[in-house]
Amino acid sequence: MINGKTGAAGMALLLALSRIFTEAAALPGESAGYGMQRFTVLVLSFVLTAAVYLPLIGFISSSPGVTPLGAVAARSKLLSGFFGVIFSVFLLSGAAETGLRAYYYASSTAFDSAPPIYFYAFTGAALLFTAYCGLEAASRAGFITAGVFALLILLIILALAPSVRTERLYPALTDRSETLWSEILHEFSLNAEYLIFAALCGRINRRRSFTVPAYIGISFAAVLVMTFLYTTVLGRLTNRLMFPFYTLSSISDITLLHRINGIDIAVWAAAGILRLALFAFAFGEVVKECFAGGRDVKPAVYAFCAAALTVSALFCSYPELHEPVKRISGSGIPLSAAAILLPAAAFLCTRSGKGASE
Amino acid sequence: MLEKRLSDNIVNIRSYMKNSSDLVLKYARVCGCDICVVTCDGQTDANKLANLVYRPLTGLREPDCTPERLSAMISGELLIAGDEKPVMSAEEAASAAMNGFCVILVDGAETACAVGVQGFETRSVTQPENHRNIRGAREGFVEALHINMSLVRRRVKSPELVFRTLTVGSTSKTEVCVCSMDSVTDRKLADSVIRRLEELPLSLVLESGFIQPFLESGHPLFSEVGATERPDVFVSKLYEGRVGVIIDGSPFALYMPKLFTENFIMLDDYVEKPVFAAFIRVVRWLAFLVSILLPGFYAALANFHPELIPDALLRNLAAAESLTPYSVLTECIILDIFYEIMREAGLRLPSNVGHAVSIVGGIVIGDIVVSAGLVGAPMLLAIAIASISGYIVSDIANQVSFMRFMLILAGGLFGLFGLTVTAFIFCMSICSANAYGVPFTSPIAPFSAKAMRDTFFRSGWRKLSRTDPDIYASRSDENRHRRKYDKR
Repeated sequence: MINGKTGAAGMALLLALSRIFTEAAALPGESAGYGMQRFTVLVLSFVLTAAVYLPLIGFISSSPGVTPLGAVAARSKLLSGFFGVIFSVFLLSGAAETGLRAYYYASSTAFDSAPPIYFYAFTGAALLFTAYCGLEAASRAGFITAGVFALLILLIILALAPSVRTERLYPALTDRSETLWSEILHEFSLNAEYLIFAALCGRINRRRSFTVPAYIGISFAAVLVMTFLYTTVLGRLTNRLMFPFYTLSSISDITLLHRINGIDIAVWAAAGILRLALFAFAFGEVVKECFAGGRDVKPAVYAFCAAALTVSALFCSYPELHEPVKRISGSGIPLSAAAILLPAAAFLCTRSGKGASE
Repeated sequence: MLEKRLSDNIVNIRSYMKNSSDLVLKYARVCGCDICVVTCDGQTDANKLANLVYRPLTGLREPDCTPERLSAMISGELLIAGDEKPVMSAEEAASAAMNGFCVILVDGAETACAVGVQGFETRSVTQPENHRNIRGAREGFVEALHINMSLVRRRVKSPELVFRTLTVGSTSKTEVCVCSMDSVTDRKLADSVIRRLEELPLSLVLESGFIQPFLESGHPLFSEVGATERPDVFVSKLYEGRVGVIIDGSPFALYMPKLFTENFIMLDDYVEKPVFAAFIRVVRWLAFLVSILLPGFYAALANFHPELIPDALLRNLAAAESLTPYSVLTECIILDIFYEIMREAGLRLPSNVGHAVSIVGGIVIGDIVVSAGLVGAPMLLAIAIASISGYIVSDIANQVSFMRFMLILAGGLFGLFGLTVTAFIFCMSICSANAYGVPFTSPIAPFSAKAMRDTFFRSGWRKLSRTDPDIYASRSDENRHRRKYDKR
């Protein structure tokens, strides 16, 4: 089942869910924060994100049917090995961090009384099953999860509409200009979906280039709505909350239930597993293109799932191990490097390949 | 080949049928030649046999008739029957007799003729037991294949409807009929079904359930093959491009592919006003969710997240649960298993006893376990609501029961997180199914806006009549594109 392809819309929704998950399930110290600077940060970081996709989209559009990793692997074994190793490390780090986010979220909200082993056992089982079902099934599940997320946002808006205080919005672009750039970089670095898309773009049936604007548009709109709700409903309280969206769902009384944070838990648990699965599928594709000569390597995907959760559990037990990883990934360097090097190498390999054949 | 001597042929037929006592042999002398009429007891209609075979044979006067001439006359001029075929061997003769034909063997001739005089007892066409409707035809399939075929043909008097008959089961030699609408059905789909039937490794096929697993993709929970007792439902499925299979001896016809959303669509929806149909469909979806989630959700909230329950309700629940000796999870499991036992008992018993079981189980035991303080009334209510809701989507009642039980365990043991992850696993499982190339969860995922006019809601007939009835219309864009490519 692993070999299935998916549609552009399905992939865009999956990537958007994955991106929104990082927004909702924050790591300690990643609080959204109150202030209009947050909106500026979001706009600029998404513009930056859209910009780094341009070379990749350019390559995909100019070489239909070829993936960047495939183009590199077809031309140079050395480059292929280099990108294989770099991507594997980045993907593993991203997946481990996703596991950590899911753990912090679950242990702070719905799973507070259970030991971590239960969390990792449960998540591991669901992740392995998702990996077994394949990308096509995951994208269908993404549609359903996205539908539940839309329902959740709608319910929150309906329940909290009377609590919206628009006076909490004020005309300013920055509040703390000294941290503006670091916040933009941090927000930009959350877009590990670039690596996933770069690896998995060959698994999209048609209109591959459509995926990126759709994913960026959906996630930008969703994050903007979430930030608007934090600002206008929670106000300064946002600064003290690790999961403000969970708080919003907790104070949403829809009569039938006292709170709707049960739906919030359902959405982010599913989105977290889907994000982990996306990293695993991307790793499977990297192994296939860079190390296995185009053959599908299912065990590699399962091994990646186990490794990601193990590293995540290590980060959870020894936060000092996670600190350097967090610093490097939070700087946006891995993402920028991949965004420049991979399309450049793919363009060069394709052109030199054409030259050789001529 | 048949032998020249009649006695040798009879010996061969007897030997092939292992001297079975239902083999009936009638000897006679016609135009100076010995003949034998071979039939199988209980498979023929006595009137047809007398009028179509015995009367013409006994009235035959042909001087100087040779056996070959007599055999040729019987098969060519004498007998006028709707279903007639030549027989070339003893095995063919025995098979024909077992299928309700009468085989006329002539001493000295190496060929014979089989005439269809089938006439076995069948159940009359009645209202189906399982798929009842408020408005519409009251006819249901019966066990006889030819009657079922006629019920389908009566609804589509068009050459577009094509029947292809096959024999499956190496021992039972059961006749099955593959039905499709020629211009709508994907040829590959029909061929795939026929190939699977031809390769069926079973020796005995008694019911449609025997062949159903061989037509499925092997999904552990859900079937991509639908079963219906109603000819009108069957025809509507064929009209949408599906392939149908009618099995001799079974009142259930199969159709494929079946999508998940079809479990929530009933024939009555199409005779009601669209607004009522839409309302009842949404109610069915809610009932499905309530049926699988409510007890597990209750167990999770009561055990791990009481803060999610409104205060007034929480006080009542706590008061009810404090009087019972067991934990919420134990109560939930006991009640759910008890309900499953009652359901199973009610299903297998005759209907009058079944009602008694329902009354004893539902009212007497239910009332007593609460008043005796064994389980709390809220828990009983949750299980009762979930169980009744499960019957709204009766085609997947078993799957609903299984999922409910697993979610009770997950919710009761690991709270909302366990419930969510288990529900996610079920969701993934449903999403991973492909029904003959069509995503099982379509048109929800992949989403098709066009198909939504007959999924959660139903547009009026004026709108529906303008849309493509083809099942592939509910596929995502790229799948439809792929299909067009396949057709080319």
